[in-house]
Amino acid sequence: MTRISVRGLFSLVCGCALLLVLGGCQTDSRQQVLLTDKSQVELRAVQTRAFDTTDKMLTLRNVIATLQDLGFVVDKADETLGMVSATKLSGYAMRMTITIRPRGTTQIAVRASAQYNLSAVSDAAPYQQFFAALEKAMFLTANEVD
Amino acid sequence: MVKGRIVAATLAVAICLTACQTPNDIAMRIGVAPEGAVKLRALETRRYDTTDQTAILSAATQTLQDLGFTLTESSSEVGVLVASKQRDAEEAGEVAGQVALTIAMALLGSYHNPDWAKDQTIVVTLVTTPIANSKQVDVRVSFDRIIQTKNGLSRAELIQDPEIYREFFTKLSGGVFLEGHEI
Repeated sequence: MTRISVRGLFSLVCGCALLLVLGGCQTDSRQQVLLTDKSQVELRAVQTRAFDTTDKMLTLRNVIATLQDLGFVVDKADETLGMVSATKLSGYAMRMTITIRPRGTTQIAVRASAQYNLSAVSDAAPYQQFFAALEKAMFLTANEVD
Repeated sequence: MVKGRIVAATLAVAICLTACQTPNDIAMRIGVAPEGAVKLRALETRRYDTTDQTAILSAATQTLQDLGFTLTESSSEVGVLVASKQRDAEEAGEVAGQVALTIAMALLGSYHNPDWAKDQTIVVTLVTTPIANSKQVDVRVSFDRIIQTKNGLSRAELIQDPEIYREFFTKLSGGVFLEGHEI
């Protein structure tokens, strides 16, 4: 009897240790619905660039071409809302949505947001790369917005 | 012994009863509005003082991007937006429970294959409906999620947490510069 309870105790300790390793710190996965790792302002700054054009259609076409050049497959495009969604599968799954909206009367704002496997992409570097490619396709400079 | 027989008999009856259910019965049950449908609608809906449906949808795309969603479907004429995101669903408590259960079963000489929620696909549908004879638009949003477990099982559920909806509409209202009224 004593042996079992000692074993039980040992297992319990092992279990707890394992739990700490495996469980991370999430206690309610429902909170993921609205969870973000950066503030709205920070995200928008990183994900948005302004181009000196008012041609929404041309911007949309260039965005699609850039995505294809980067190895994405376009899933969905909506001209009225100015929206494109695309997926890249290459040992990982990267999903991206780009929205195009007029900014003032002389510019168009392009916003890209992406998810890599199970997490949101909030680092600046991947977006910089995307906008660098888009700049070339547009023959226009991607201006940072604040 | 007697107890065992009762359990066995109850199980047999239960199996018989479930077997009697036809797909039609199940369909009939699904077709019925769920309990608390009115409450759910109130939770999911806000009314905005505008006639510009496209502006609301456009602002909603920005809010959804803020939240890390990828847009998967849209139909601006009918005012529909669908977006989704895949996220981690592992919960410390559930993992602990499963590990403890496996250990307890092992001590009792039995095998239990531990299983817990691994990842989830969160889907959001946003629908705008103009109100007849008024200059207002209703925005109804619903979140649901499909949870995949470690062992490849899945289950789906509608998110009914009032706090989540309230917070979403606060974010959306900030985006459209309008106050959403509860109805």
